[in-house]
Amino acid sequence: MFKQYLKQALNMLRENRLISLISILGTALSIAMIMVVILVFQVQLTSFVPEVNRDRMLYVENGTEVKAQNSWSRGNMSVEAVRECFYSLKTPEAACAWATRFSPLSLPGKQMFRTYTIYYTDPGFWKIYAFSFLEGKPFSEADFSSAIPQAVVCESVAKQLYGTTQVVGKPVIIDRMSYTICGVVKDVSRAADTAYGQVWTPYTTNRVLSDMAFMENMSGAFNVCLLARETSGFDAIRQELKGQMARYNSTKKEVQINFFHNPISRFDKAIGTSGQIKVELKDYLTEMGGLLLFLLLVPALNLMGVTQSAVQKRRSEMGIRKAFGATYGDLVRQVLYENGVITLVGGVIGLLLSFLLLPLCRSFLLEKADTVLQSDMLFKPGLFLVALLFCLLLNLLSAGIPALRIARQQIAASLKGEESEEM
Amino acid sequence: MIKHILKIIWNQRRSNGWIFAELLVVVSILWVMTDSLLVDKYTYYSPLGFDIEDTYKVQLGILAPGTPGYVDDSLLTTRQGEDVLRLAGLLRQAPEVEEVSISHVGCVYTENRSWSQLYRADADTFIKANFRQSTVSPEYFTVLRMKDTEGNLLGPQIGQRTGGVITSDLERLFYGADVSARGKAVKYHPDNTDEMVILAVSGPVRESEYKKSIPFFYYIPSQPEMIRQIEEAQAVGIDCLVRMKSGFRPEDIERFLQGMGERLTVNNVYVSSVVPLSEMRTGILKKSEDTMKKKSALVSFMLINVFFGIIGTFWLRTQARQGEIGLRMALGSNRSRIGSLMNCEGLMLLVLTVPLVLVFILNMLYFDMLDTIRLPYTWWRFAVTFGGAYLLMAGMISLGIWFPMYKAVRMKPAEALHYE
Repeated sequence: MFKQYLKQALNMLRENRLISLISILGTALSIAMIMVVILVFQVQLTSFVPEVNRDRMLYVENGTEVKAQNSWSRGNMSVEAVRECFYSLKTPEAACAWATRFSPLSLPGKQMFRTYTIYYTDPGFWKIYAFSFLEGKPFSEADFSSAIPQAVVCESVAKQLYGTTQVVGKPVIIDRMSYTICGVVKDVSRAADTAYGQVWTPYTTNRVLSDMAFMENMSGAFNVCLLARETSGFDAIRQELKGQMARYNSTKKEVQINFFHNPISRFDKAIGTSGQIKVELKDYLTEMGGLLLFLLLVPALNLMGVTQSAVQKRRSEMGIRKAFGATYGDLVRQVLYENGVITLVGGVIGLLLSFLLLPLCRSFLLEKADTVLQSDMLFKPGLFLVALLFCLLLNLLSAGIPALRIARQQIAASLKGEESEEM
Repeated sequence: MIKHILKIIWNQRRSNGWIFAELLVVVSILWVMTDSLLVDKYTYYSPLGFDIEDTYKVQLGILAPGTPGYVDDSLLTTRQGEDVLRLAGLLRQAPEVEEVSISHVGCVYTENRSWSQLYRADADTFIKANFRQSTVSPEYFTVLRMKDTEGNLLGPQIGQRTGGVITSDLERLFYGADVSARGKAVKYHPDNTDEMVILAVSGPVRESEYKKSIPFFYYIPSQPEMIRQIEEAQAVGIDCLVRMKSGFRPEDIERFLQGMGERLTVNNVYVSSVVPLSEMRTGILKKSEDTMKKKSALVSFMLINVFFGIIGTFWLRTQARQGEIGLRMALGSNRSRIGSLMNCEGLMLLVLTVPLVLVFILNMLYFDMLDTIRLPYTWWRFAVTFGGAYLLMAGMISLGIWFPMYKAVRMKPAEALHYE
């Protein structure tokens, strides 16, 4: 039966070339736009190197508020706050505090002023993210506690400074301070918004940064990232954090610290929640759902008119089939399957088109300029299922009503070719 | 002619229904998009209140103990704040530099902001609100080429005096529409005794191209007070803004800095890096401009769909009405009349959406869902957005009808009648 439908569908396509072309192109365009929207969300949500544990991560970024009686400060926290509220937590598997600065990199004897993203962090960073080292190894616990100036650089920085990646043991001057390179890693895509940097080094080596403390030592420069043992462990961590926060606040005289709605999960970040602004899921779904519905609806309206007239042309054929015993369901299925060929062909073209459109338009689709797209960000098995789902939805929307209408017509009326629907 | 067309449309209402629904949905959304793009563009072209051409932000650094060049506390004879001011002076003396200013939270195109309450010194009633404020050195207004309400540069008017500068939004808020604020005094707290005299009133200042202007207050402190504030914020948190002489290119920054050599360090304060403000601007504006590009992409998507929809519908109609067209031609209708009949039919469908869209617009206005803060809703805004949306649609419809019309008109009457 399937082969029959397929043959009929292909014949139908051949019969009216222009209409078929328009239907397929229209479907392809719609599916392409929908899949681009889905892909942009996917890049925000899914794990990829080096942020491989995104489903288990919690973030406190730019989400610290320190209040005194007559003033408040919103931004990041001091090293003391990190220690008291986050390093003290027992529930998470790992915790890391971090801050980024744009500083120039120089070589001994050659002062340069071009800036790079310097990532100041602690040993917990290497436990949370999966970096593959081309040379050397990360800075150690000992380096961190003794503030030994060791730095990990990315491949392109090594090449820019020394022309090679064999730079372990060589010096690099970060903003007037001399460091030794202890490891080289592959470049990180800017889509990894929490791990991105070009040089990674312990924050204890930057006195200005670690000593930055205002408002009774609570407000400062640091963000925090936590790795939970399992996805269900988020609430337990939040509970424990509340306790530590209360304990820390009780040691202060005039100021209190709080973290708004943080720590937030990766999913929260993907729907637009940031450190100080919370986006409710239902608001996000309304907006996103509205957009996707719109992207489906407009082409569906196009296709409905076309399908309607195509189906009406075959009234008599439907009438005969009904007379020979085809059920209501049979006729509806026939129309849906035949239309399905168009939507599937359009869908495949659309999906391929979306993989072309995303790299082309990434400068305005993605949050950070110059984001490098990796294949483990884009090609996820679930994606193809989602594309298929939207094809089916489009099929149902565009052929459903005409199918139901034609199947319901009386046999005699169809056979007579009655002009109940004029073209 | 029009009655005839309306009759044709009504006779085919079943298949016209879908295309009509699509036109309605598309023209409504198109109008919403055109409106928001218009407001964005209009706001973009309003004056900013400052000029960032040839202007750069200098990031200062503080040497930590143990770094080469670190001067121990015991050997220092000047305070850190004095060192910062001396460093600014050294930069100012460079031949490529026009002017240098020091400020705290005074840099533009950044996420840093500082708010403070401000009160009139001479009034009994107070407006309790927070205003954007910055602490700046007098050269700030020269570096950013800020002007007063008459369009004259503020720098020469202020000279090296201490006091305050407010923007015209704040002047209107505090003193009403016709009173000049020059010479009047303000203070940070109603009970304060130290007041700041307003030296000049700047034109409206906006944070960036897509925002509306808000009241600003600039405090120009005395030198000792400035030094104290620099030390409180620490040199790394200070904004050092530099205006280079015109003709200086951003690519020359590296060469300029390497040429300055030792003059980039005063005791433990040094110049770490220099960034053009235009680069910072790109970063800050990215979000708004991305949204505009996404909206344009959606507009293109809708227009292409309308194009496809119109071609499809009218193509099928032409095919089914071949007999009718043949008959018309045999009875003496000329080709162009048939073509224009089809065009009118399509455009008439569009015209029929107008009453419904007007109801939609009135609803949007009533529920205050349009951006009227940045641009009030005037007749010209309505004309431009409504007219623009409909013109685009009419264009797409005419384009979409062209091909089926071309085919219909080329048909030979005998062949067409033969089909029937």
